[in-house]
Amino acid sequence: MRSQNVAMLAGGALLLCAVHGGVNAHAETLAPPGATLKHGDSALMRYVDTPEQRRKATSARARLVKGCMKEFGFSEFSTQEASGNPPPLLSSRRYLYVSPADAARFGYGIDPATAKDFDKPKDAVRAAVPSEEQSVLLGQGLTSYKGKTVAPGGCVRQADGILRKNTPAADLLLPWKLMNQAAGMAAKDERVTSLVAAWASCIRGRGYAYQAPEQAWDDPRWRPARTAAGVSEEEKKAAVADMECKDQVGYVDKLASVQNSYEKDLIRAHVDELEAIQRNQEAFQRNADIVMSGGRP
Amino acid sequence: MTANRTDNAWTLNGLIRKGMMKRRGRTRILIPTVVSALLASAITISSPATPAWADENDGWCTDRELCIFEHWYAGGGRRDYFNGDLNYTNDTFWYWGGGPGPAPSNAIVNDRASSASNGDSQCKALLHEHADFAGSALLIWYRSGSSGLMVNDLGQYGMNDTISSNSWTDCI
Repeated sequence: MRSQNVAMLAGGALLLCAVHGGVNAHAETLAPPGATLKHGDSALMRYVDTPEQRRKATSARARLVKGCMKEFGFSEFSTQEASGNPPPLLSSRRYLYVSPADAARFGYGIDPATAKDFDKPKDAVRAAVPSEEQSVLLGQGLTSYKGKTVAPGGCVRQADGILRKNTPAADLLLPWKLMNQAAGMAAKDERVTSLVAAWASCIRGRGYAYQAPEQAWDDPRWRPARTAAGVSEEEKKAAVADMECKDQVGYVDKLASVQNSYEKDLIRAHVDELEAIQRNQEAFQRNADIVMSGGRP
Repeated sequence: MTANRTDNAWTLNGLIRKGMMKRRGRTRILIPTVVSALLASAITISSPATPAWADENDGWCTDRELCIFEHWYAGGGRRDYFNGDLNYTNDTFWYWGGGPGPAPSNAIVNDRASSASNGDSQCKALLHEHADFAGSALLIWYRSGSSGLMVNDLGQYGMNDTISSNSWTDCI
Protein backbone atom coordinates (compact mmCIF):
# COMPACT_ATOMS: atom_id res chain seq x y z
CA MET A 1 0.00 0.00 0.00
CA ARG A 2 2.84 2.34 0.55
CA SER A 3 4.00 4.17 -2.52
CA GLN A 4 6.76 5.64 -0.37
CA ASN A 5 8.35 2.32 0.29
CA VAL A 6 9.04 1.31 -3.26
CA ALA A 7 12.30 -0.46 -2.99
CA MET A 8 15.32 0.55 -4.97
CA LEU A 9 16.41 -1.94 -7.50
CA ALA A 10 18.51 -4.80 -6.37
CA GLY A 11 21.22 -5.78 -8.76
CA GLY A 12 20.66 -8.28 -11.47
CA ALA A 13 17.79 -8.06 -13.82
CA LEU A 14 15.28 -10.80 -13.63
CA LEU A 15 15.14 -12.38 -17.03
CA LEU A 16 11.78 -13.58 -18.10
CA CYS A 17 11.32 -15.73 -21.11
CA ALA A 18 7.89 -14.62 -22.23
CA VAL A 19 8.15 -12.29 -25.16
CA HIS A 20 5.71 -10.26 -27.10
CA GLY A 21 5.85 -6.90 -28.64
CA GLY A 22 4.72 -4.10 -30.83
CA VAL A 23 5.79 -1.13 -32.88
CA ASN A 24 6.35 1.91 -30.73
CA ALA A 25 4.47 4.69 -32.36
CA HIS A 26 3.18 6.14 -29.13
CA ALA A 27 2.45 9.77 -28.62
CA GLU A 28 5.51 11.68 -27.57
CA THR A 29 3.65 14.22 -25.54
CA LEU A 30 3.07 13.66 -21.88
CA ALA A 31 -0.42 14.98 -21.60
CA PRO A 32 -1.98 15.55 -18.18
CA PRO A 33 -3.58 12.29 -17.15
CA GLY A 34 -6.75 13.61 -15.52
CA ALA A 35 -9.57 11.13 -15.55
CA THR A 36 -8.51 9.36 -18.72
CA LEU A 37 -4.88 8.45 -18.61
CA LYS A 38 -3.47 7.86 -22.06
CA HIS A 39 -0.85 5.38 -23.04
CA GLY A 40 1.83 8.02 -23.52
CA ASP A 41 1.21 9.73 -20.20
CA SER A 42 3.99 7.72 -18.68
CA ALA A 43 7.30 8.13 -20.46
CA LEU A 44 8.11 4.49 -19.84
CA MET A 45 4.82 3.29 -21.28
CA ARG A 46 6.27 3.81 -24.73
CA TYR A 47 8.15 0.60 -24.01
CA VAL A 48 4.95 -1.24 -23.20
CA ASP A 49 2.51 -2.32 -25.89
CA THR A 50 -0.38 -0.05 -26.74
CA PRO A 51 -3.90 -1.50 -26.54
CA GLU A 52 -3.89 -1.83 -30.34
CA GLN A 53 -0.65 -3.76 -30.28
CA ARG A 54 -1.87 -5.95 -27.46
CA ARG A 55 -5.04 -6.72 -29.39
CA LYS A 56 -3.06 -7.84 -32.40
CA ALA A 57 -0.60 -9.87 -30.32
CA THR A 58 -3.39 -11.52 -28.36
CA SER A 59 -5.34 -12.35 -31.49
CA ALA A 60 -2.29 -13.83 -33.19
CA ARG A 61 -1.55 -15.96 -30.15
CA ALA A 62 -5.16 -17.11 -29.92
CA ARG A 63 -5.18 -17.99 -33.62
CA LEU A 64 -2.00 -20.03 -33.36
CA VAL A 65 -3.05 -21.90 -30.23
CA LYS A 66 -6.50 -22.62 -31.60
CA GLY A 67 -5.04 -23.82 -34.92
CA CYS A 68 -2.61 -26.10 -33.13
CA MET A 69 -5.33 -27.54 -30.90
CA LYS A 70 -7.52 -28.12 -33.93
CA GLU A 71 -4.76 -30.14 -35.55
CA PHE A 72 -5.02 -32.52 -32.62
CA GLY A 73 -8.77 -32.76 -32.96
CA PHE A 74 -9.71 -30.27 -30.28
CA SER A 75 -11.73 -28.10 -32.59
CA GLU A 76 -13.86 -26.78 -29.75
CA PHE A 77 -10.91 -25.62 -27.70
CA SER A 78 -12.03 -22.52 -25.89
CA THR A 79 -10.07 -19.49 -26.95
CA GLN A 80 -10.96 -16.26 -28.62
CA GLU A 81 -9.36 -13.55 -30.68
CA ALA A 82 -9.74 -10.06 -29.28
CA SER A 83 -12.87 -8.35 -30.58
CA GLY A 84 -11.66 -4.89 -29.66
CA ASN A 85 -8.84 -3.09 -28.00
CA PRO A 86 -8.29 -4.09 -24.38
CA PRO A 87 -8.38 -1.39 -21.70
CA PRO A 88 -5.09 0.39 -21.03
CA LEU A 89 -2.72 -1.34 -18.65
CA LEU A 90 -2.48 1.83 -16.62
CA SER A 91 -5.33 4.17 -15.82
CA SER A 92 -5.67 7.22 -13.61
CA ARG A 93 -5.98 4.73 -10.79
CA ARG A 94 -2.22 4.57 -10.91
CA TYR A 95 -2.40 8.00 -9.23
CA LEU A 96 -5.27 7.00 -6.95
CA TYR A 97 -7.63 9.08 -9.02
CA VAL A 98 -11.10 8.58 -10.43
CA SER A 99 -13.32 11.32 -11.74
CA PRO A 100 -15.51 12.98 -9.08
CA ALA A 101 -18.51 11.82 -11.09
CA ASP A 102 -17.38 8.21 -10.85
CA ALA A 103 -16.50 8.70 -7.20
CA ALA A 104 -20.07 9.84 -6.59
CA ARG A 105 -21.37 6.62 -8.14
CA PHE A 106 -18.81 3.99 -7.21
CA GLY A 107 -16.65 5.47 -4.47
CA TYR A 108 -13.14 4.11 -4.92
CA GLY A 109 -14.49 0.99 -6.58
CA ILE A 110 -14.80 -0.20 -10.13
CA ASP A 111 -17.79 0.58 -12.30
CA PRO A 112 -19.60 -2.79 -12.40
CA ALA A 113 -20.19 -2.26 -16.10
CA THR A 114 -16.44 -2.38 -16.70
CA ALA A 115 -15.60 -5.12 -14.19
CA LYS A 116 -15.36 -7.75 -16.91
CA ASP A 117 -12.50 -5.79 -18.46
CA PHE A 118 -10.34 -6.75 -15.49
CA ASP A 119 -11.16 -10.42 -15.29
CA LYS A 120 -11.22 -13.56 -17.36
CA PRO A 121 -13.98 -13.98 -19.92
CA LYS A 122 -16.38 -16.13 -17.97
CA ASP A 123 -18.13 -17.50 -21.01
CA ALA A 124 -14.85 -19.04 -22.15
CA VAL A 125 -14.33 -21.00 -18.94
CA ARG A 126 -15.72 -24.49 -19.13
CA ALA A 127 -16.81 -26.69 -16.28
CA ALA A 128 -14.58 -29.57 -17.34
CA VAL A 129 -11.38 -29.64 -19.36
CA PRO A 130 -10.36 -33.08 -20.67
CA SER A 131 -6.94 -34.01 -19.39
CA GLU A 132 -5.77 -34.92 -22.90
CA GLU A 133 -6.71 -31.49 -24.15
CA GLN A 134 -4.87 -29.86 -21.29
CA SER A 135 -1.82 -32.01 -21.96
CA VAL A 136 -1.74 -31.08 -25.64
CA LEU A 137 -2.23 -27.44 -24.73
CA LEU A 138 0.63 -27.33 -22.24
CA GLY A 139 2.74 -30.33 -23.22
CA GLN A 140 2.20 -32.04 -19.93
CA GLY A 141 2.71 -35.76 -19.85
CA LEU A 142 2.23 -36.39 -23.56
CA THR A 143 4.80 -36.58 -26.31
CA SER A 144 2.27 -37.62 -28.92
CA TYR A 145 -1.49 -37.70 -29.29
CA LYS A 146 -3.44 -39.57 -31.94
CA GLY A 147 -0.23 -40.21 -33.82
CA LYS A 148 0.86 -36.60 -33.88
CA THR A 149 3.87 -35.33 -31.98
CA VAL A 150 3.13 -32.91 -29.17
CA ALA A 151 5.81 -30.23 -29.10
CA PRO A 152 7.59 -29.62 -25.80
CA GLY A 153 5.43 -27.17 -23.92
CA GLY A 154 2.47 -28.06 -26.09
CA CYS A 155 0.50 -25.75 -28.33
CA VAL A 156 1.06 -22.78 -26.06
CA ARG A 157 4.82 -22.89 -26.23
CA GLN A 158 4.69 -23.67 -29.92
CA ALA A 159 2.58 -20.57 -30.52
CA ASP A 160 4.85 -18.43 -28.39
CA GLY A 161 7.86 -19.77 -30.27
CA ILE A 162 6.35 -18.78 -33.61
CA LEU A 163 5.54 -15.29 -32.40
CA ARG A 164 8.95 -14.97 -30.81
CA LYS A 165 10.84 -16.06 -33.90
CA ASN A 166 13.82 -13.78 -34.56
CA THR A 167 12.93 -11.53 -31.66
CA PRO A 168 16.01 -10.41 -29.74
CA ALA A 169 16.14 -11.14 -26.03
CA ALA A 170 14.72 -8.44 -23.80
CA ASP A 171 13.58 -8.00 -20.23
CA LEU A 172 9.97 -7.01 -20.79
CA LEU A 173 9.37 -6.37 -17.11
CA LEU A 174 11.99 -3.65 -17.04
CA PRO A 175 9.56 -0.81 -17.86
CA TRP A 176 7.36 -1.88 -14.95
CA LYS A 177 10.32 -2.08 -12.66
CA LEU A 178 11.45 1.38 -13.66
CA MET A 179 7.96 2.87 -13.44
CA ASN A 180 7.64 1.66 -9.89
CA GLN A 181 11.12 2.86 -9.08
CA ALA A 182 10.26 6.31 -10.44
CA ALA A 183 7.08 6.34 -8.35
CA GLY A 184 9.10 5.57 -5.24
CA MET A 185 11.58 8.34 -6.01
CA ALA A 186 8.81 10.81 -6.73
CA ALA A 187 7.08 10.05 -3.44
CA LYS A 188 10.13 11.39 -1.60
CA ASP A 189 10.48 14.45 -3.80
CA GLU A 190 9.70 17.77 -2.12
CA ARG A 191 7.41 18.72 -4.99
CA VAL A 192 5.28 15.70 -4.20
CA THR A 193 5.45 15.92 -0.41
CA SER A 194 4.27 19.54 -0.60
CA LEU A 195 1.54 18.44 -3.00
CA VAL A 196 0.39 15.80 -0.55
CA ALA A 197 0.41 18.40 2.21
CA ALA A 198 -1.79 20.68 0.11
CA TRP A 199 -4.18 17.83 -0.56
CA ALA A 200 -4.26 16.92 3.16
CA SER A 201 -5.08 20.52 4.00
CA CYS A 202 -7.90 20.54 1.48
CA ILE A 203 -9.47 17.32 2.62
CA ARG A 204 -9.11 18.37 6.26
CA GLY A 205 -11.32 21.26 5.32
CA ARG A 206 -13.84 18.72 4.09
CA GLY A 207 -13.85 16.99 7.45
CA TYR A 208 -11.31 14.20 6.95
CA ALA A 209 -8.03 13.78 8.83
CA TYR A 210 -6.11 11.83 6.20
CA GLN A 211 -2.42 12.67 5.91
CA ALA A 212 -1.92 11.11 2.48
CA PRO A 213 -4.12 9.95 -0.42
CA GLU A 214 -3.23 6.33 0.30
CA GLN A 215 -4.94 6.59 3.68
CA ALA A 216 -8.17 7.74 2.10
CA TRP A 217 -8.07 5.14 -0.67
CA ASP A 218 -7.26 2.30 1.70
CA ASP A 219 -9.49 3.35 4.57
CA PRO A 220 -10.46 0.02 6.16
CA ARG A 221 -14.04 1.21 6.53
CA TRP A 222 -14.81 1.17 2.83
CA ARG A 223 -14.52 -2.28 1.38
CA PRO A 224 -16.14 -4.37 4.12
CA ALA A 225 -19.20 -2.11 3.85
CA ARG A 226 -19.68 -2.82 0.17
CA THR A 227 -22.54 -5.02 -0.89
CA ALA A 228 -23.90 -6.31 -4.17
CA ALA A 229 -25.96 -3.14 -4.24
CA GLY A 230 -22.84 -0.99 -4.29
CA VAL A 231 -20.65 1.10 -2.05
CA SER A 232 -21.72 3.02 1.02
CA GLU A 233 -22.79 6.63 0.93
CA GLU A 234 -19.98 7.33 3.37
CA GLU A 235 -17.40 5.98 0.93
CA LYS A 236 -18.89 7.91 -1.96
CA LYS A 237 -18.84 11.13 0.02
CA ALA A 238 -15.23 10.67 1.05
CA ALA A 239 -14.16 9.67 -2.46
CA VAL A 240 -15.80 12.75 -3.96
CA ALA A 241 -14.07 15.00 -1.42
CA ASP A 242 -10.80 13.21 -2.11
CA MET A 243 -11.04 13.64 -5.88
CA GLU A 244 -12.23 17.20 -5.72
CA CYS A 245 -9.28 18.05 -3.51
CA LYS A 246 -6.98 16.30 -5.96
CA ASP A 247 -8.46 18.42 -8.73
CA GLN A 248 -8.12 21.54 -6.62
CA VAL A 249 -4.41 21.07 -5.97
CA GLY A 250 -3.64 19.64 -9.42
CA TYR A 251 -2.58 16.41 -7.81
CA VAL A 252 -2.57 14.05 -10.77
CA ASP A 253 -0.92 16.38 -13.24
CA LYS A 254 1.80 17.43 -10.82
CA LEU A 255 2.45 13.93 -9.53
CA ALA A 256 2.59 12.57 -13.07
CA SER A 257 4.98 15.34 -14.05
CA VAL A 258 7.38 14.55 -11.21
CA GLN A 259 7.17 10.83 -11.84
CA ASN A 260 7.84 11.42 -15.50
CA SER A 261 10.92 13.47 -14.73
CA TYR A 262 12.31 10.47 -12.85
CA GLU A 263 11.15 8.11 -15.57
CA LYS A 264 13.08 10.11 -18.14
CA ASP A 265 16.20 9.93 -15.96
CA LEU A 266 15.78 6.19 -15.71
CA ILE A 267 15.22 5.88 -19.45
CA ARG A 268 18.56 7.61 -20.03
CA ALA A 269 20.24 5.27 -17.56
CA HIS A 270 18.77 2.16 -19.20
CA VAL A 271 18.70 3.21 -22.80
CA ASP A 272 20.37 0.09 -24.18
CA GLU A 273 18.02 -2.31 -22.38
CA LEU A 274 14.99 -0.27 -23.39
CA GLU A 275 16.07 -0.11 -27.00
CA ALA A 276 16.37 -3.89 -26.91
CA ILE A 277 12.77 -4.00 -25.79
CA GLN A 278 11.77 -1.84 -28.74
CA ARG A 279 13.56 -4.12 -31.17
CA ASN A 280 11.92 -7.09 -29.56
CA GLN A 281 8.51 -5.49 -29.81
CA GLU A 282 8.98 -4.53 -33.44
CA ALA A 283 10.02 -8.05 -34.41
CA PHE A 284 7.18 -9.56 -32.44
CA GLN A 285 4.66 -7.25 -34.05
CA ARG A 286 5.92 -8.17 -37.50
CA ASN A 287 5.41 -11.83 -36.65
CA ALA A 288 1.92 -11.11 -35.36
CA ASP A 289 1.13 -9.27 -38.59
CA ILE A 290 2.23 -12.29 -40.61
CA VAL A 291 0.12 -14.64 -38.50
CA MET A 292 -2.93 -12.42 -38.79
CA SER A 293 -2.41 -12.37 -42.55
CA GLY A 294 -2.58 -16.14 -42.59
CA GLY A 295 1.14 -16.82 -42.85
CA ARG A 296 3.91 -18.14 -40.64
CA PRO A 297 6.97 -16.08 -39.69
CA MET B 1 -16.67 -8.06 -9.42
CA THR B 2 -17.80 -8.18 -5.86
CA ALA B 3 -20.35 -10.84 -6.65
CA ASN B 4 -17.69 -12.91 -8.38
CA ARG B 5 -15.34 -13.07 -5.44
CA THR B 6 -14.60 -16.71 -4.98
CA ASP B 7 -13.05 -16.16 -1.60
CA ASN B 8 -16.51 -15.09 -0.59
CA ALA B 9 -17.63 -18.48 -1.83
CA TRP B 10 -18.91 -17.36 -5.22
CA THR B 11 -17.45 -18.25 -8.58
CA LEU B 12 -18.21 -17.82 -12.22
CA ASN B 13 -20.66 -14.97 -12.12
CA GLY B 14 -22.06 -16.20 -8.88
CA LEU B 15 -23.52 -19.29 -10.50
CA ILE B 16 -21.47 -21.95 -8.88
CA ARG B 17 -20.99 -22.27 -5.21
CA LYS B 18 -17.51 -23.14 -4.13
CA GLY B 19 -17.41 -26.56 -2.60
CA MET B 20 -20.26 -27.90 -4.68
CA MET B 21 -17.89 -29.07 -7.39
CA LYS B 22 -16.41 -32.49 -6.96
CA ARG B 23 -12.68 -32.41 -7.37
CA ARG B 24 -11.47 -34.96 -9.88
CA GLY B 25 -7.85 -34.07 -10.03
CA ARG B 26 -5.53 -31.16 -10.11
CA THR B 27 -2.41 -29.86 -11.66
CA ARG B 28 -0.08 -28.76 -8.99
CA ILE B 29 2.73 -26.30 -9.50
CA LEU B 30 5.66 -27.53 -7.52
CA ILE B 31 7.74 -24.71 -6.22
CA PRO B 32 11.48 -25.12 -6.28
CA THR B 33 13.22 -23.99 -3.14
CA VAL B 34 16.47 -23.25 -4.86
CA VAL B 35 16.17 -21.55 -8.18
CA SER B 36 18.44 -19.90 -10.67
CA ALA B 37 19.39 -16.41 -9.62
CA LEU B 38 18.02 -14.92 -12.77
CA LEU B 39 15.15 -17.06 -13.80
CA ALA B 40 13.02 -19.59 -12.08
CA SER B 41 10.07 -21.50 -13.31
CA ALA B 42 7.46 -23.39 -11.43
CA ILE B 43 7.20 -26.95 -12.64
CA THR B 44 3.89 -28.57 -13.20
CA ILE B 45 2.91 -32.14 -12.78
CA SER B 46 -0.21 -33.11 -14.54
CA SER B 47 -3.37 -34.94 -13.95
CA PRO B 48 -5.59 -32.07 -15.04
CA ALA B 49 -9.29 -32.41 -15.30
CA THR B 50 -10.81 -29.94 -12.90
CA PRO B 51 -10.93 -26.29 -13.88
CA ALA B 52 -8.87 -24.14 -11.59
CA TRP B 53 -11.76 -21.95 -10.59
CA ALA B 54 -13.26 -24.89 -8.76
CA ASP B 55 -10.20 -24.99 -6.59
CA GLU B 56 -9.44 -21.30 -6.09
CA ASN B 57 -8.33 -20.49 -2.59
CA ASP B 58 -7.41 -23.99 -1.53
CA GLY B 59 -3.65 -23.63 -1.18
CA TRP B 60 -2.91 -25.50 -4.40
CA CYS B 61 -1.40 -23.45 -7.20
CA THR B 62 -3.11 -24.96 -10.20
CA ASP B 63 -3.39 -24.30 -13.91
CA ARG B 64 -4.80 -20.89 -14.77
CA GLU B 65 -4.20 -19.49 -11.29
CA LEU B 66 -2.13 -16.64 -10.01
CA CYS B 67 -0.28 -17.71 -6.90
CA ILE B 68 0.84 -15.14 -4.36
CA PHE B 69 3.55 -16.10 -1.89
CA GLU B 70 4.47 -14.65 1.46
CA HIS B 71 8.23 -14.81 0.96
CA TRP B 72 10.79 -14.78 -1.83
CA TYR B 73 11.10 -17.78 -4.11
CA ALA B 74 7.62 -19.06 -3.35
CA GLY B 75 8.36 -19.33 0.35
CA GLY B 76 6.01 -19.17 3.31
CA GLY B 77 2.27 -18.97 2.92
CA ARG B 78 0.52 -18.95 -0.43
CA ARG B 79 -2.80 -17.88 -1.86
CA ASP B 80 -4.19 -19.00 -5.22
CA TYR B 81 -6.45 -16.81 -7.36
CA PHE B 82 -8.32 -17.80 -10.47
CA ASN B 83 -10.41 -14.63 -10.71
CA GLY B 84 -9.50 -11.02 -10.29
CA ASP B 85 -9.60 -9.82 -6.70
CA LEU B 86 -10.30 -6.25 -5.69
CA ASN B 87 -9.09 -6.41 -2.15
CA TYR B 88 -6.67 -8.69 -0.34
CA THR B 89 -7.46 -7.43 3.15
CA ASN B 90 -9.94 -10.23 3.72
CA ASP B 91 -7.74 -12.92 2.15
CA THR B 92 -5.53 -15.28 4.12
CA PHE B 93 -2.55 -17.49 3.33
CA TRP B 94 -2.42 -21.27 3.22
CA TYR B 95 0.58 -23.04 4.69
CA TRP B 96 2.23 -26.29 3.71
CA GLY B 97 4.07 -28.64 6.00
CA GLY B 98 3.15 -30.95 8.83
CA GLY B 99 0.11 -32.37 7.15
CA PRO B 100 -1.19 -34.10 4.06
CA GLY B 101 -2.12 -30.84 2.38
CA PRO B 102 -2.24 -27.09 2.79
CA ALA B 103 -3.65 -25.68 6.00
CA PRO B 104 -5.60 -22.44 6.26
CA SER B 105 -4.43 -19.64 8.50
CA ASN B 106 -5.44 -16.22 9.72
CA ALA B 107 -2.41 -14.54 8.13
CA ILE B 108 -3.63 -11.73 5.89
CA VAL B 109 -2.30 -11.60 2.31
CA ASN B 110 -2.64 -7.85 1.92
CA ASP B 111 0.73 -6.06 1.84
CA ARG B 112 2.57 -9.27 2.65
CA ALA B 113 3.43 -10.84 -0.73
CA SER B 114 7.05 -11.18 -1.80
CA SER B 115 6.85 -13.46 -4.85
CA ALA B 116 4.22 -14.53 -7.37
CA SER B 117 3.61 -16.98 -10.17
CA ASN B 118 1.23 -16.82 -13.12
CA GLY B 119 0.09 -20.35 -13.93
CA ASP B 120 -2.32 -19.20 -16.62
CA SER B 121 -1.34 -19.81 -20.22
CA GLN B 122 -4.34 -17.86 -21.49
CA CYS B 123 -4.19 -14.59 -19.54
CA LYS B 124 -1.60 -12.15 -18.26
CA ALA B 125 -1.81 -11.24 -14.59
CA LEU B 126 -1.63 -7.71 -13.23
CA LEU B 127 -0.61 -7.12 -9.64
CA HIS B 128 -1.68 -3.83 -8.07
CA GLU B 129 -0.26 -1.88 -5.17
CA HIS B 130 -3.63 -0.81 -3.81
CA ALA B 131 -7.13 -2.22 -3.59
CA ASP B 132 -9.48 -1.71 -6.54
CA PHE B 133 -6.63 -2.12 -9.05
CA ALA B 134 -4.91 1.12 -8.08
CA GLY B 135 -1.37 2.45 -7.61
CA SER B 136 1.77 0.96 -9.07
CA ALA B 137 1.41 -2.25 -11.05
CA LEU B 138 3.34 -5.19 -12.39
CA LEU B 139 2.36 -7.23 -15.44
CA ILE B 140 3.25 -10.92 -15.35
CA TRP B 141 3.22 -12.61 -18.71
CA TYR B 142 1.48 -15.79 -19.73
CA ARG B 143 2.60 -19.12 -18.51
CA SER B 144 4.25 -20.71 -21.52
CA GLY B 145 4.17 -24.47 -21.75
CA SER B 146 4.57 -26.54 -18.64
CA SER B 147 5.95 -23.84 -16.38
CA GLY B 148 4.20 -21.14 -14.47
CA LEU B 149 5.88 -17.78 -14.90
CA MET B 150 7.57 -16.98 -11.63
CA VAL B 151 8.65 -13.64 -10.19
CA ASN B 152 10.85 -14.64 -7.31
CA ASP B 153 11.44 -11.25 -5.77
CA LEU B 154 8.75 -8.63 -6.07
CA GLY B 155 11.12 -6.23 -4.32
CA GLN B 156 13.05 -5.95 -7.56
CA TYR B 157 9.92 -4.40 -8.99
CA GLY B 158 9.27 -2.11 -6.07
CA MET B 159 6.36 -4.25 -4.97
CA ASN B 160 7.54 -6.24 -1.97
CA ASP B 161 4.86 -6.30 0.72
CA THR B 162 2.68 -3.88 -1.22
CA ILE B 163 0.26 -5.93 -3.35
CA SER B 164 -3.40 -5.45 -2.53
CA SER B 165 -5.35 -6.62 -5.60
CA ASN B 166 -4.97 -8.46 -8.90
CA SER B 167 -6.65 -8.42 -12.29
CA TRP B 168 -6.30 -10.28 -15.60
CA THR B 169 -5.77 -9.01 -19.12
CA ASP B 170 -5.00 -10.03 -22.71
CA CYS B 171 -6.82 -13.33 -22.37
CA ILE B 172 -7.08 -15.60 -25.38
